Amino acid sequence: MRKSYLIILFLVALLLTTAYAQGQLIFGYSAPGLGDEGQLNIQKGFEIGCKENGVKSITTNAQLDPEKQLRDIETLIARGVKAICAVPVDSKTIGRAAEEAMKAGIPFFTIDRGVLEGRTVLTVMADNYDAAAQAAQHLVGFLKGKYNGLAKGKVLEIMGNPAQDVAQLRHQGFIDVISKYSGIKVISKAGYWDADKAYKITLDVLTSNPDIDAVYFHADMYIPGIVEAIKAVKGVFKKVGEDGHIFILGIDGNPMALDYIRKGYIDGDMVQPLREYGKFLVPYIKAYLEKGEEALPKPGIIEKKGSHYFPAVVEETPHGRVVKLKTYYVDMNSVNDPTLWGNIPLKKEK
Amino acid sequence: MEKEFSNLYEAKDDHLYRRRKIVLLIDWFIWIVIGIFILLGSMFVPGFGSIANFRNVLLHSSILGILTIGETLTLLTGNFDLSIGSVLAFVGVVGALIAKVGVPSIITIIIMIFLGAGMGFLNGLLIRKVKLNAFIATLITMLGWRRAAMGIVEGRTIWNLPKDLCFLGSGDIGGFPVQIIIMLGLFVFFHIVLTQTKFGRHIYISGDNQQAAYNAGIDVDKVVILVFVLSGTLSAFSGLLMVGRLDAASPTFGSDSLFEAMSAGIIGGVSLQGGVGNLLMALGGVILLSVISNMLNLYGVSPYWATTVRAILLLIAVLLDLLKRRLTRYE
Repeated sequence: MRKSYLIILFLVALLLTTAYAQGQLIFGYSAPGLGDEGQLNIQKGFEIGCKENGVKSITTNAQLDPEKQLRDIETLIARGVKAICAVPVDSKTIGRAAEEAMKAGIPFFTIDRGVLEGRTVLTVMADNYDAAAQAAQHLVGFLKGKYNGLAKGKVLEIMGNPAQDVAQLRHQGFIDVISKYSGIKVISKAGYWDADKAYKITLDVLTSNPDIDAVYFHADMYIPGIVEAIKAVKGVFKKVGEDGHIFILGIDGNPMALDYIRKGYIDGDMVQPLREYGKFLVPYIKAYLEKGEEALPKPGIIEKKGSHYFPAVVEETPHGRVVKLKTYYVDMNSVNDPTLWGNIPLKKEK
Repeated sequence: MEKEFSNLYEAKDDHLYRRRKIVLLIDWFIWIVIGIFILLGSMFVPGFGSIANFRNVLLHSSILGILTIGETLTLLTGNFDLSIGSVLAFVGVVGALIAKVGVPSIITIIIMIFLGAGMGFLNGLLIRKVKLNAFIATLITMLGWRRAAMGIVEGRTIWNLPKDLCFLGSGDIGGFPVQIIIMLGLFVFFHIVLTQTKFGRHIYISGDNQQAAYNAGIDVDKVVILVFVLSGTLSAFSGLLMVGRLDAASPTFGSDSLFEAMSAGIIGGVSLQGGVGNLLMALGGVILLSVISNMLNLYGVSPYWATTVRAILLLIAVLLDLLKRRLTRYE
């Protein structure tokens, strides 16, 4: 007798949780790989955005495999999520996943990286080209300061994986600015997002080119390698402001980079709105599910007072609508800004 | 008639002599290739021939070299260890976390080394006691340890570590980097172990013919497990050097070190079938790969070609190994 009561109780509980789960919105998130600080923060940003809006999120991890990402997204479709947001491993192959999701009536979004094949409802990313161009402008300023107003010198660029569009944009934006100054020579090497490769590149290039004035890096993970290699070649490390200092700046804005700026090891960093993507996107997904197309941001400019990541630019592209958030430069003067995501521990994020 | 016979004998001796000469050449193949590369490099790659740059080549070699010693030992027993890069990352991350809490560096180092030894012991147990294939066993630990390292720090980098912890990876004694001294010292030590001790002979016999080793009263289980313990310890040591060299620890460290260490061993003439090869040649493999990566950093060649060059070298090394086996089979 008692047993049957228990079974009935269990069934009722099951029914209730299922009903609750059906009542609550569930969004799927397909991460390209969760092994680095950047992707971790992008994923957490999406999670926080979902929580703030009363949405449940399910995360899958493609482990840098485009084919696995496709299967992950198929799983999310089968799971019956109401919307899917992905960070593409490969901006082309993701097109098929987008197509399958749309066919199943599930709107498809991407953040951090765009798509080059197929269509998304909305993509939110940073302007990598612009970030690189801004970094280049700051660097030109440093070199002019060093050489009494003359823009000249030798720069080592440590790239990401040159096959990925992020690395291509961070290279092109930089080169397009620098190439206006014929006195500046750039040596570009691919570091494949590997800290030890950055160490070896800096070691070798600095040994054969002792007159290197500056290092520009594509990702914060390279910083320890660059700093330690300079120590190994020069014997001592000249900090920012000291005579003989090699200018170091790049892109990301991780807590580690902010600490290196604070200690005077590196000059500055272009901060990407990693946690902002998800927080910005989730309300739009929710509104899109209710009102459709008209809920999306219109092409033009979005202003938001008090945020470093705006004004953002909205564009209509053949692959869907794209919002490009702004990146901005942080140096010794602004590194202690409490609104920088690198200064807010993940645990303290609401 | 008599004359013909004597000719034949002479010819046979001459043949043998020639064969031995070719084998000797194959044995030293790797150092000959290094010589050619250094010659070409000094002629055509600006900045390659300087003393400072040779120091850089050795710096490139240090961590790879230590990993290659461990990998060579396992290859000699007829096994291999896929987990070396993951052990490096896991031990590095755990060591850095311990150091950050304020534990004295010497204790941190001891914990790291024992952790690596324990991880190697687990590999050995899985292979010899649970009887898993070495590929499966170390594939499991390879995936497991790296994911665990990522899970612990959630992909974050740990930085700003105690100075004395970093000494082994970035310090120098009289201007000579400690990491190079350690690497060369370990090569000499393990070369002596392999060539002069009973344990070294047991490694070769176990890898060459397990049944024969067993019949000769060698405890193959013990030899193989011990070799995996050594491989784990050396990987942990590489992790310690990597953490010191970069003054940071990340779960992504050593991601392609497995492929590099294995290539270095095989290019150096260590056979995948066990029992053939030595550390002097494996060191040659390490130096050659480092010379290539150094040249690519100095010269404007697309980095994609580095892997292709490595593939070609691997093919040549494996073909030479085959040829050597044929030449020595009937002696």
